[in-house]
Amino acid sequence: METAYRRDEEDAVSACVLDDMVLLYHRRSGQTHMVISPVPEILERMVDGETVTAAAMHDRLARDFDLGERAAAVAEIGSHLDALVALGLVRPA
Amino acid sequence: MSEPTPDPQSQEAQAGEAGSPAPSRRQLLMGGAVAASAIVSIRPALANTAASVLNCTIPVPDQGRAGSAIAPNGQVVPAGTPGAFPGTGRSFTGEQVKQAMRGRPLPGTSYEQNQAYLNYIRRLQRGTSGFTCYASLQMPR
Amino acid sequence: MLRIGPATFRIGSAWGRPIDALARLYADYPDVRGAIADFTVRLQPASALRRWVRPHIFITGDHGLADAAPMSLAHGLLAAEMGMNLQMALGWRRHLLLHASSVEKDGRVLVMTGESGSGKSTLAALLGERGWRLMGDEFALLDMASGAILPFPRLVSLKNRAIDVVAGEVGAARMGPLLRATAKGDIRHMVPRGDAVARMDEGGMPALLLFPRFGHEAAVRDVGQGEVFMRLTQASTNYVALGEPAFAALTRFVREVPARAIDFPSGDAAIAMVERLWSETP
Repeated sequence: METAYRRDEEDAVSACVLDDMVLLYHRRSGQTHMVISPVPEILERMVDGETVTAAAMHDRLARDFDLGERAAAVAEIGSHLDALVALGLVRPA
Repeated sequence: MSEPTPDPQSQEAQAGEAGSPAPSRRQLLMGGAVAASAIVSIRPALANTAASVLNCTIPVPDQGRAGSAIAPNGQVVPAGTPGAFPGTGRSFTGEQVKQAMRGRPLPGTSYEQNQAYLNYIRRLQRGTSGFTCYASLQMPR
Repeated sequence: MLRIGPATFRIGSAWGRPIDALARLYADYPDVRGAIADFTVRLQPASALRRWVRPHIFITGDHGLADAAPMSLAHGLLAAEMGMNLQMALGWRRHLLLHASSVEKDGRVLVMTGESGSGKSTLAALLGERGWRLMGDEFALLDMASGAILPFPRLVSLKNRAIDVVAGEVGAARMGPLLRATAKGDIRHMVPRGDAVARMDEGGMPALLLFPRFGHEAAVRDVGQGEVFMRLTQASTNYVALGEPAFAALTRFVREVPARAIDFPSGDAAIAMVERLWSETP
């Protein structure tokens, strides 16, 4: 059973792109996070209200990026999604 | 709906055959390595004793001198250290970063370099007691 | 009653001496008797006995920290200044507070942030005597709507060797008493010049951010925007509390204001570096 993730309107972040990282302000928690790839790319490819698995997110990213070996990449993307869940930016579906 | 995973090699081959200068696909992950955290959060530290708050100092930025490098774990090391990335002098416009996020490569950077830089930021945040100085006065929401 | 920039303080004390010192040094500041104070600062003895016997001052007021260490009466002036710092740090919400010094020239503002001992206060004081207007040495106030830096020109707190350097330039009339052996060493306060006081309501747009570091061979380094942002959040007492407007204001600041780290062996070297960097800043 694959873990699924979702993001809702209430999880919205305000983003600011700096020259060396991206800043996210998470409105619901009032927290600010400094993030680097692949987090901004993952968040960009989530759609509010829709669920996505790590594998599906991998495939979305793979259209634009070289991710290397698939199984390892899916695992890594899953870790990033879990980190986002821990911070409240994404929810488990 | 999942699409078939694109084969990176055939993609590159196609790009080459097309003749026009296609942007090489930027590598996004370390591929096989344990996923490193890509997030550092701004956190107020636990309140310190009042005396230290009133007398607190925010330590000197311990940034390397011009020409120092940043190792993958975020430590500042002498320039030329194998495996380390140039520490300063990186300045990309917001526009370049946005384009990179759309798949065009950020000039001269790699996933590892980004990770090294974030690790540097993370170390700074943990290491500086200034973090517990004025930051300790902030109440988390 | 004392007004510094946009903030008004009422300062009460169980002892006369610190108040007298404050009154003398702040003599040329606006008369705000009868105004409504933003903050109250109180210098209190621990107990009735402690008012007279080995008197120790507890700093309190609208905002306090329960386990603050007491200070000696000899350092009463410092206690009052720290009390004002504390009120601002804990209570000010109208602007984003940055622990930084700032000086203005031609409507543009130089902001300097760093540790005690980094030289930011001394540099600000020296620049204030060389054609720049001192805006503040402790707090720079960032207006979240306009992006401007607003003045908060308190007495400049000089430590140890910096005392002689500055006192030699400004003269005794503008210097407070020597406070020996405080937690941060010897301290003397300097009264800002008349123009700094007179123009305490005039802000300016930030044009350059410096991270000064005194006591090293001269050097200039770029600082990445991510690092600038992280350090400024550490240097702000109210970034978290102010929420999204603070995020917007600070990110705007980071993206629009160039930043450099400068190391210098002496005040003169620092001044030269500052003037050069300023002239090169668009």
